[in-house]
Amino acid sequence: MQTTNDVIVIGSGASGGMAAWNLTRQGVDVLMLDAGTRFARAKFWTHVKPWEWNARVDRGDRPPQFYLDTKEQPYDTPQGQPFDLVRVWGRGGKTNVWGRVALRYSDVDFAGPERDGWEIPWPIRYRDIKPYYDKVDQFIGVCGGTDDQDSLPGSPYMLPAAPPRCGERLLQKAGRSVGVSIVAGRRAVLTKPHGGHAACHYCGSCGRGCDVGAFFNASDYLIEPAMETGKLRVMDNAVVARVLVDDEGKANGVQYFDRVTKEEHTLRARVVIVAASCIDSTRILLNSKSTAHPNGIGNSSDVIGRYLSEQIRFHMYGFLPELIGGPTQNDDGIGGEHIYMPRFNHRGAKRDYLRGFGAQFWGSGAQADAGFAKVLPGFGVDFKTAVKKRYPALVALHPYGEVLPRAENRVRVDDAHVDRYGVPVARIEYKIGENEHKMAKEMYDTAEQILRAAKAEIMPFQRGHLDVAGSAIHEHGTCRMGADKKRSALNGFCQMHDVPNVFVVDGAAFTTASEKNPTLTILALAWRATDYLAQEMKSGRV
Amino acid sequence: MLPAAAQHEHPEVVAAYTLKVFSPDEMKRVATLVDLIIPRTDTPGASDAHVPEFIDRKLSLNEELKDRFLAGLRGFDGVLSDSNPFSKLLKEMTIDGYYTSKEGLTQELGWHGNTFLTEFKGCTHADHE
Repeated sequence: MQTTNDVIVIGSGASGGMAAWNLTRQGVDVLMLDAGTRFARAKFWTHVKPWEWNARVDRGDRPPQFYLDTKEQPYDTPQGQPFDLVRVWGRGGKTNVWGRVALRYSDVDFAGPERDGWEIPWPIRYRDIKPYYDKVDQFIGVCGGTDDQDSLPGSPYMLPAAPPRCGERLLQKAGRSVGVSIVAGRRAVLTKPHGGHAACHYCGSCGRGCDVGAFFNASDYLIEPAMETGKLRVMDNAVVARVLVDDEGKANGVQYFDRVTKEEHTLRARVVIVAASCIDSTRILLNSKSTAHPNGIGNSSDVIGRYLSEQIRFHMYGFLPELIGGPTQNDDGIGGEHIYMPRFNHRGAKRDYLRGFGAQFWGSGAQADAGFAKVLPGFGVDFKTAVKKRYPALVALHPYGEVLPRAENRVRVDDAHVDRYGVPVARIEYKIGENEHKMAKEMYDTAEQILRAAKAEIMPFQRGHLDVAGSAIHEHGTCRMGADKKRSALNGFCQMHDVPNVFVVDGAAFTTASEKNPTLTILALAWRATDYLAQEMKSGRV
Repeated sequence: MLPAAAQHEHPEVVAAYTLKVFSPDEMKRVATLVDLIIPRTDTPGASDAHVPEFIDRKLSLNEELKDRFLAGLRGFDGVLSDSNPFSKLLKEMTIDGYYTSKEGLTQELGWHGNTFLTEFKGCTHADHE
């Protein structure tokens, strides 16, 4: 007789970590299945200087291998339609190396579908999630300003904002001069000690993982404290393939493969929480076929796998005249930008496209390389001088735009292509449309307008060019929430309409993508969903 | 060459390098070319900053790149130009190598980041407001 776990959580990133933490502190026993292992913080290469990197590699050392190799876990895309899927399997998932941009959605986002009539509405509003944003801000520590606006709700719980670098301050000024507001960034970086975690020491190497845990990561902030309650058990290297069901179609466990031995196992559970990140969660759900769920678990609506929404993005660079030829400063700060341009296109004249865009500014100021030099002409002393003069003056604009949810943008599973365990891999079919191309035009116009107002020497760019799909690493929508059971898979508490003891708490649950970075909202939704679940379990309904 | 003191400070940087791809003649040719791209001035040049070793190492990790580079080097007439594919490749690799080296990044560009600070002041110039 197999033991039945109260709750199995699949995945250990932001959403799975939050689910496990919030349930265990309310007395629920949780078994977390992590597809990898814990990353050893003491072995991060946070403070390895660029020139030391190669010498270390030559000696046979390796930095932590955060990113999942597609040779181990392939996925398919149609010919000529690439999608760059970034996955981190291991404790904390992508939060080990995430961009830390922590923006609240507003009703500009949540009420978008009602306003323009494109696809189904969100089942929740800002007022429903606000208490959870407040709790998340207080718990994880978010630094930022009080310069809020309707498209970027504020928080009374912000840690002190990281002050802007010279280039960023000049861009704020340039923005003001053309009526574009560029505010203080909202970032999950600790500008003072918080919740027992160390403050940031401004080394700027967050992308290699923080050696002191001074920004939110699910491993240190959620999973470790949850383990201290004695209520959480974490199983390493457990690659979940399917959610299993009983004769009535109710979930009763999961099937997984041991990543080391490749052996198949099953586990029993009262409740299954799917939190493997958007694409992998979707793959698990679609592979969970049974007599009760021939189209994948909880998919009577046929929406699971559909409405994949990433974001469109490009980059524009310039050199600011006030800084050209000036002294080199230490611009590391909290790593990434200290400022943010919130959506503004919902004001003023009606656009010829739906939804909107914002902009980030990472990579402004002195960097630990000079990649921009590749577009400067010439050779020799003149070239060397030209690089040096521009080096302190670099600014970078990265507009991000919302992509409309479309039924044909989808993840499928294909029995013809299976992974090393014999489990069908994901096939990602994704294209942007006319709406996004129209939006990109205004995104280009805006970025150029700001740089021109700053009197910047603008680096050559190709108008209309967009990053490869998937580059923003913000996948959403393939198991969306909604009030209409025929057009959505989950209710507003991330609970499956069809299968009440399955919850999907990662980016897959989003009804729309927004242009904003989703992690803060994922944390708030997962907290809210598991508060609801804990109540439902106490009352015996789940 | 680096002063002796610097060698003691960063032994791993100047440890003897064993060529992985280039012949000694190719190595010499590459050193001459990268110094035409980024010459020694009052700061080190590309070969002072071990850019030829950097390129050799990169080529050893990528078969396609190695073949393309070596074929380009053999056919190269020695005249650097932004429109010549080999010249462009060499320039890009020189930039990657030089501006991530200790010499290029700290001595030439003055980078002093990736350190431990207790405070980040940001911009302190009133005229940037």
